[in-house]
Amino acid sequence: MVRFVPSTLLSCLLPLCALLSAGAQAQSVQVFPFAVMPQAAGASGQTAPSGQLSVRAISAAQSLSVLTLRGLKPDTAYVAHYHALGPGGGEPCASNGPVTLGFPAFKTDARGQATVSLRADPARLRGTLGAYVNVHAASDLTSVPLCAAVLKSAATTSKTTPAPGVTVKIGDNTFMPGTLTIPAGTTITWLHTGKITHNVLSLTLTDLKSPDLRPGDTYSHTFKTPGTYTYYCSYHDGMSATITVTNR
Amino acid sequence: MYAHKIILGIATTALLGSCSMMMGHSMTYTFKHNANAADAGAMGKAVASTKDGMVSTTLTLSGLTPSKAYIAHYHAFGPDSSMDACASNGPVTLGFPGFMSDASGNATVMVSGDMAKIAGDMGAYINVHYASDPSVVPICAAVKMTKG
Repeated sequence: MVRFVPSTLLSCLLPLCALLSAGAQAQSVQVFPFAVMPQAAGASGQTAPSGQLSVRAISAAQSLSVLTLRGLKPDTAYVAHYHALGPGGGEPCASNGPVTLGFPAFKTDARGQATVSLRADPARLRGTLGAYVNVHAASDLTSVPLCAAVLKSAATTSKTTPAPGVTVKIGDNTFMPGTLTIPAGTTITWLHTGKITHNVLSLTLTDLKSPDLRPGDTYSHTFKTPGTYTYYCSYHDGMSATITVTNR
Repeated sequence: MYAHKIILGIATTALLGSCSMMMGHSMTYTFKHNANAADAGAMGKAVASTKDGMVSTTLTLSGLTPSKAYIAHYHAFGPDSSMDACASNGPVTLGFPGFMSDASGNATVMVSGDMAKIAGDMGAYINVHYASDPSVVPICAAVKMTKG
């Protein structure tokens, strides 16, 4: 579904095209197919999930992203997010990057199909900020049946040894793992897998400060300075953990 | 002779203070409503009594949602403010037992703990949260006015 626009509007569309892909062409709609993630393979007899992401520039300050999905579990709740390219670079869908923008939560119909839209400021997806879109099962965010890579390839983005990304799960009322040692430069992403609201704060690292995190939300922070940092949830007794940052 | 009276006065004051320490004393803190719409009529007080290194704190609350589960905590002074404890987002240092408001929206709950848990900045404020969503904090009582 590619729609062309008068050339006078092309200048407005260029910023969006540039942010979507280095190889992007100057057209009004960019379409990115979803690929089935390895963990979603199997389930013989079922239609494999599939779909596409289409991104259309509405103005210089707004773009419309539409997910058209099928082959998912019928009548099931899902969530989808734009993710930034993870610290390891490489294939976007395998880079484990932090969430940069969330689509509205949605539910498939009786045939396992769904369409969900998101209007956003393209600046929030600029560069590597909108590297890929993941579709997660709402009941288990670690289940990611589909991913659409927006960046063509990130294999050449870093020639230095990349710092790996690490995920800390937020449960009710615990951080997992409770202690962690990472090299400086590592980005930690907290993934809320619990049911009630939590946050991530630190008395000693004041820029480690998440908003309230609801189920399915993520928050990321890059630790640049070696040291030992204790963080906590301000809502729950005893819900704290420690991260030790070492020299790379 | 005048100096003798002064010394006697100081000694008496010290003695009374010592007795007070041994017998314990109490402080009362008033809950104030936070800038949100939850439980608009909520109010109450916290009375903290110390004795022998222990502190017992009783919350007496009203105006809560009737028959609803709540949690309450002492919090340390957090990173977000040095002048307004209730806005500082500090960690929990001492938790009250979970409690339910009654059919009239009233509740009373008490906790005892080691005084060291809430000494200084460790006991900066007391928050009352919805148990179902702790990010909803209808009322807060500041215990310590400034950080440090």
